[in-house]
Amino acid sequence: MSKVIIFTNENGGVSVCMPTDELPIENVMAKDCPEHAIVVDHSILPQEENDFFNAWRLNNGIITVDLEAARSIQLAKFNAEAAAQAILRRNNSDIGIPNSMSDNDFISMLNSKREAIAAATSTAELRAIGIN
Amino acid sequence: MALPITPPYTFANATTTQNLSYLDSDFATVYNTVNGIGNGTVSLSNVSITGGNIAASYSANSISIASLQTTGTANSTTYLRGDGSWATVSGGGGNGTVTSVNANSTVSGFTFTGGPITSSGTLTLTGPSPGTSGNVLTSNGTSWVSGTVSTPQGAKAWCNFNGTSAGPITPRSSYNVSSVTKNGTGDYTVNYTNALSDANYSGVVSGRRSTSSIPDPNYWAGPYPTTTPNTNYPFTTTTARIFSAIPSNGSGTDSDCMNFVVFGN
Repeated sequence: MSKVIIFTNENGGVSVCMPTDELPIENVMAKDCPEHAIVVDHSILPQEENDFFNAWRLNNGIITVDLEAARSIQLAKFNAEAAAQAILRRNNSDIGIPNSMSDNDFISMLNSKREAIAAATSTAELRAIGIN
Repeated sequence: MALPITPPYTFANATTTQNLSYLDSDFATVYNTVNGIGNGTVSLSNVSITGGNIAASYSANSISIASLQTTGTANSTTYLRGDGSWATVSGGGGNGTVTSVNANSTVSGFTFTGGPITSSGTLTLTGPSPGTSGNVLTSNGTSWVSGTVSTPQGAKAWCNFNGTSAGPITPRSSYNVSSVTKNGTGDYTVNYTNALSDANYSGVVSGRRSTSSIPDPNYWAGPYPTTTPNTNYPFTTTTARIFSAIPSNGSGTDSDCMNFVVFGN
C-alpha cells in the first residue's frame, strides 16, 4: 500500500504530502514537511469526504471531518450556486422568459435550504442540499 | 693468314667441359674454355658477347630481393615502388581487414580495459560510480555530485499530478520534484528535489476541470490564494504554491490533472 505524509497545516486543516519516487519518503518528510508530520497508509484518508477536504481535522493520527467547517463549505457552495441561479433568473426576466418560481418563493427556498445546512448533522445530509 | 674458327660453337655434350679453340694469325692454337656445362650453371671467363636479340631466361623463384638494384631498406613493413625505392605505404592501405583494436581514455577518471583486440573481445570503459541517481559528473571526470546541470533553456522542474483526493493526490510524472502537498481544495505545494539557484524563476500552471458541472477554473502560482487572501506565498528556491479556483466566487476546486513547469536559472 502506498504511504503518504499527513500533518495539520497553518489553517488547522490537514495537508497530504504525496512523495514522488525521486527520494525516500523519510527524506521527503524531513525536507518537505513540518516536524509534527506522520507517515500513514493512504487508505486511512476519508476519500468519500473529499468534497469537504478543508474540513478534515487530524487528531492522534486519525482524520475526522469537522461538521461545522463542513457546513461552512456547503453553505459557500450553495451560495455560489444561488448566485448563478439569480443571474439566470434576471436574464430570463430581461428577455421575457418567465421563471418557474416567483422571486419571493425563490428567496424563501434559499433561506429554507440555508437553515437546513445549518441544522445538518452529517456530511451526507449536507451533500444532499443543493439549489435544485 | 688467320684461319679462325668462327662461331657459333656447338656443344655436342653439354655435360662435360668443352674447349673452344681457333687458330690465330700465327696458326697457333688458342684455347678458351667453357667449364661446368650442365646442371644449369655456366662459368665464363674472358668471353664477350655481342650481337642483337640476346635473351636470357630465369627459372621461377630464382632471383632474390638482394639481387635487385634498389634503394631504401627492404623489410616486413616496406614495399617496392615503381622507381625502385623501398617505402612505407602512405595513408593506409585502402580496403583490408583490421587485425587489432585498442583504445585509450584521455578523460581523467575513465579507463579502457580489454584491449588490444586482435580477433574478438570486448573493450570496457570504466568510470567512477555515480552513487545516487540524479547526480551529475563534474568536469574533473572523477567526482559525482548532487545537483542539476545549468541549462536555462530547459525546465528546472515539472510535474503532472492528480489534485483530487481520490488518488489521494498522485504525482503521475515529474522531474526535480520530491513531493506534492495538498493543503486544501485546489491548493497545492510543489516541493523541489534540488533547490533552484534563485527564486526569480518562471512557474507555469495549467489544469483540467475535474467535472463538467463547474465553470472552467483559473490556475495560478502564488502569491495569494483565495482561501487565505491575506497570506502571501511567493516562489522560494525550494517550493511553489499553486492554486485552482472557480473564477466567479474564488472558491478552490480540485483538478484531476494539474501541471506545473519551472523555467529559470
